[in-house]
Amino acid sequence: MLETTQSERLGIFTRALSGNTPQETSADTKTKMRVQNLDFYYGNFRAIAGVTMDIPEKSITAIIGSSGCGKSTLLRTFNRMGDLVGHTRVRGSVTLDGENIYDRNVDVVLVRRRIGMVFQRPNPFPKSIFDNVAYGPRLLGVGGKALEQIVEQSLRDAALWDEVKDKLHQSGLALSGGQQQRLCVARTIAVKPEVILMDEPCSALDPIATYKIEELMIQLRNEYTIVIVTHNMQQAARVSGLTAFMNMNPDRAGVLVEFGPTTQIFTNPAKKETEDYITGRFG
Amino acid sequence: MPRDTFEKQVNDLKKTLLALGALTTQTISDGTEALKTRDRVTAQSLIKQDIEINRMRYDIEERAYRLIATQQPLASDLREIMSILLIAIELERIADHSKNLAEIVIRMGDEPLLKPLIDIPRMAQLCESMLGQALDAVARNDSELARAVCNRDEEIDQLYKQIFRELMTYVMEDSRTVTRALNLLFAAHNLERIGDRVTNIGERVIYAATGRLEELNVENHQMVE
Ligand SMILES: Nc1ncnc2c1ncn2[C@@H]1O[C@H](COP(=O)(O)OP(=O)(O)O)[C@@H](O)[C@H]1O
Ligand SMILES: [Mg+2]
Repeated sequence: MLETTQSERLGIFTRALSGNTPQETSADTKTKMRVQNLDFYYGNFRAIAGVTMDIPEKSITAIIGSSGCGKSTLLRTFNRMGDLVGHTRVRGSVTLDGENIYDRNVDVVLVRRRIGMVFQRPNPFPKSIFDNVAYGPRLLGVGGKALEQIVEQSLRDAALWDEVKDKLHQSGLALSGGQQQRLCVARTIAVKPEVILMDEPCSALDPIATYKIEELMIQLRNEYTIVIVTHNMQQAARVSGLTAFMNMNPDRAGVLVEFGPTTQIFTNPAKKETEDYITGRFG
Repeated sequence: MPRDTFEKQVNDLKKTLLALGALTTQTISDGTEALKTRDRVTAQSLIKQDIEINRMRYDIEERAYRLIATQQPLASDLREIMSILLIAIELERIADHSKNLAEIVIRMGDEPLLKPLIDIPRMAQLCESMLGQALDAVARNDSELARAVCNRDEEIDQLYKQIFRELMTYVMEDSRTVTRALNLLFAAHNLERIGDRVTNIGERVIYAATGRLEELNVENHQMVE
């Protein structure tokens, strides 16, 4: 038998209760982003209809829903990436710390620096590992020793440093898929964003690489606000504090069906539509 | 439906659970009958039957683990499979309590009963009827019925207290009756525990059906003074 003292046992008990996942959001958590009555159009096609949700600071919020229901479109409205596609229109508002990012006088470049994005397929630049991470800070005028420090710190924060520290000048494209994705995370956090958007960041990765990204997200949530779109419901259940379920309404516009604590969504959702989706009895 | 196979597996699992439930219900009346008629043959076969009941419980357990590992059930599916697993364990334990009745019969040999059995068979009948209703609640996922069943546990507890007091008066009058009194008290105690386990089953049904975890009959868990 393993000998443990009462206080050790209590410690084990308390850790088991607090756990590292899933994260609970308390009432006093500050709202980082607020989405209100958001509509998004591609030409005449309304892809998002009437989405309202508050995203708490320093936490992970997951968005789930079937393919084509508008998850990526919604995520892209959070840092105005949707603007990059022609003939699009946004109605409603998205605020960051209370300021509407769609206001006329807002600097879009600054918005995208404060709200970074990691994509489905790892997309490192065809440059060295160092230059990939240094890219953003260089644009901001950082150089020399300071730049080296930022690169090292970002790679450490992305849990990649130990694997690449001896080959910083090799191409980022020579890394494995999972390493490339962590490189993209390092590149994103190198410019010190406040929010990180992730669009199915693990869908091209094997299970081990996936768990590494999840562990990384759990580390990062202490300092960043993270919103993740995922097809993997177990992943949403493992990492997020809140989960949003989206579905398509009859005219194919994406709507927010249910948004609440992850534990509740996955054990006892309030809406039948959510239940049908997460138990796989959909359509 | 995209999950026909999964649904069939869950339904089959539930059928096995209900079969285990039917067997378990029978053990309560068999055990009590053996006690009443001092029938050691029935008692022996009840002890043997417990092996089969344990086997069924492990079969259900294994199938539940396999479903969880391979299907990652969520929401009502998760609640249902977890409830099946926990109810199977309660049923197996109920059968253990019946087996304890059989063991009392064997232990007592030819020694006469301290007194004619009246309240013990009444307790047993209540247990059987409650378990039957609880299994209906399982089959129909009926949380209201489950709650009604749990409310009946109070009656069992009352009978137990009554038996306890009665047996104590025998012992106080003549201390040589203590062994025979304890045999009957042990029998009543096992039936009282069955009532509690049926209540646990009711709680699992309520959780599966509603997602609410609640402890019923907390006040009844106090010791008999
Ligand atoms: N660039 C685009 N131009 C026109 N329609 C688009 C564009 N991108 C996505 N859509 C449409 O918007 C809807 C939502 O797509 P998307 O946001 O990619 O869904 P999801 O990420 O949930 O799979 C789909 O009907 C899709 O065809
Ligand atoms: Mg998408």
